[in-house]
Amino acid sequence: MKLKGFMDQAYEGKVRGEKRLDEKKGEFLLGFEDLAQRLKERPKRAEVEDLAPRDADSIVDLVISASPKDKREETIWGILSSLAAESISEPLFIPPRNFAGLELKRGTIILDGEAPASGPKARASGGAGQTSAPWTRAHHLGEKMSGGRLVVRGGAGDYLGQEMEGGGIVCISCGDYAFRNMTGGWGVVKGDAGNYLGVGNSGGRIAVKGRAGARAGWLMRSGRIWVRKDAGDYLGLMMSEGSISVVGRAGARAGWRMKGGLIKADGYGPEAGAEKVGGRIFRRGAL
Amino acid sequence: MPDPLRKIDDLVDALEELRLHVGPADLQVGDRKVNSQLYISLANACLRNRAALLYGGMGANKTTLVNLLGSAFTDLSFDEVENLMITGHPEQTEEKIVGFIDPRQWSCPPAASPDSSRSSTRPGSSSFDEGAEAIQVLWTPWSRSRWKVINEINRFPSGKQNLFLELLQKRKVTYAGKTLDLGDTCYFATMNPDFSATYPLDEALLDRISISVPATQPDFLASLALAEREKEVWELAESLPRFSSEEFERLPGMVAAVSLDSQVELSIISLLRDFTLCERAPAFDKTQLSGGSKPSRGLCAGCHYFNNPEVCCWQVDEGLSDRVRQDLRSYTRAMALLLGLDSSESKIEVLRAVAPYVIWHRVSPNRTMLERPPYYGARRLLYVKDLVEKSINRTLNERGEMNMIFARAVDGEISPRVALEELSGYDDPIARLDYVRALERMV
Repeated sequence: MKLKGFMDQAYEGKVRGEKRLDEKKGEFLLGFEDLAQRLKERPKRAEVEDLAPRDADSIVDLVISASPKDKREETIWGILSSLAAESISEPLFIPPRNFAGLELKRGTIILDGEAPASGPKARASGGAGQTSAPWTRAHHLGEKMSGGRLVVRGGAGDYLGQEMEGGGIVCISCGDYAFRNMTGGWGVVKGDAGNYLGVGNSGGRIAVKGRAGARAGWLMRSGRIWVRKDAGDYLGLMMSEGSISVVGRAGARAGWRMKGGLIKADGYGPEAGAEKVGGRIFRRGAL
Repeated sequence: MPDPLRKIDDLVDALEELRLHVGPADLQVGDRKVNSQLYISLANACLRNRAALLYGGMGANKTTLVNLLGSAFTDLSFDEVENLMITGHPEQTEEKIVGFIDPRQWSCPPAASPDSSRSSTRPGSSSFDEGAEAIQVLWTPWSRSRWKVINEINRFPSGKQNLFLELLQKRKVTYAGKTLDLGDTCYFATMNPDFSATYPLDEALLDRISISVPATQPDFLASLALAEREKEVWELAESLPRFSSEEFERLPGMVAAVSLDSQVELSIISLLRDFTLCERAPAFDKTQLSGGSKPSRGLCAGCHYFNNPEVCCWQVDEGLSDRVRQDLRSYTRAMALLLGLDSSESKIEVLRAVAPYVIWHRVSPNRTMLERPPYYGARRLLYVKDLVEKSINRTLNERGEMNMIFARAVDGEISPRVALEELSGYDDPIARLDYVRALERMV
């Protein structure tokens, strides 16, 4: 017996020999729910791209008409929003939803208006270190971007620009874990940023025109962070490379256990540079 | 000729009615619950050249049960079966166990005794063999018996345990240059937990023990039932149903006639690979590991499978040998025959029930796992049972798609390159370490 026959018998025809995706490729889509049903549990961008409509108008219509119900559908919608932005020459205006601009490669997305309250992860803002906003914030915006622009005309939620490799993001304010594990590109926060800004970064540039929360630049390996006002406690915690510049004051224990890199601030809280192994900490006035 | 299976059912009923074995129904097979100690011993009696180990404290009805079954299956009295048995102690010698040189051959001409007629010379001729040709060996009744019981196997010192290793491996016994072919035999062994007078069993011997079942002390109700037993065991044993030698010999053929479908075969192979594959072992084979390089000694630190409760590889130190595959197939068949389970769904349930007993004595779980919730502690069998359950469920549910991709590539329906690309998205040890390597060789 051939191996496929053996497997067929073992699974009694419950598993398709060919991937579901191949069978459905090029078929007519009934809507976003239909698209989501045809994809497996953790769909990849290439799989969504294969099933998505080919013409720009249809894909934009699909993005605007969709109402994702859970995290899986949100990621599919996020990839679709990127595909839509890439397929048109002018900026794509859509309401902010979780995962908008996921894996964006080119084009521009402008998130305007209030995030729909129906989204499972949409919740009122209130992350540490940020001003409260009257609108609900969308999370995971611009995640894994490698190009293009994402403009958020309002406050972004948590995980803004996480794992981004290129492109740029502009927003009014952001929640926690913004630009986490960033390897390239840039981000501008016109207001305040939450805690854990630029955690584990190994590249890219971040500018915050307001305040940054605690632990900005934690475990940073490369890249730059610039903060116009004050930064919270544990600035540059255990960082090994890169530079952090704070125009205002840094909180307690800035540069705690840092191994390399550079921190500049106008002033520091207690225990700045405690247990420091390497790197440099400067007071701006002393330079 | 009466159906041997019906007779086995009668035997089970008789053992219970005569209060000769009153263990709890602790083995769930599909929707049936049976006593593990009794049914695994019965399954072993239906097979040949497999060894079952009954493990438990003193007085847990291990030796008595095996001797009662021996009495019924070989149609000997209980006393005769008891006399056949050998018991471990440090002064036990090879001569007492397997046989000794017949001293009569030097005082009178050699008689063509039935005992010595069974012996044969070893293949290969040498001066030693030629000298040994004339030697007559008297094989012990235990050596000649087709129902071999090794009582308290761990009371044999390590050196003497090697005798059983050779015996279970070659199915032959050699003494003074003479070899006795043991033929198709049922092997049983009993073992107590570690005491001051016991010796550890080495891993090679444990691997040759096909199945191991814990024997527990009678619970409250069982003790009440035992209190009703008025006669001695040997007297009650006379009332047990007896098997003729033809019926006893028919059993292995009946087991062999039970077919295993692809679902069971696939689950068995995947189960073996789940326990054996290790990304950091030579040739990804955990059986190659030795000494300090074991999962419990920090081998897996930093491995991305480490601490993933769904993956078996880091949770046990030892890999599983191909003997486990053979044992799993044999005992699944035997248990399916005993319980009259024919359908595909029920055979996979039989495998789920039997596999932990085939595996648990061969592996050492990572101690940190035993001390975490749900706190398995000393319940090693339960821990291995959960690992087996995870592996089989994963094979039957989540591995379907990747198995089909691999099968299509092997059959030439898709190119190995395409299959490699597809399989690269599956973070499963079998896909990464077995399938991908096989496909790379095909490219």
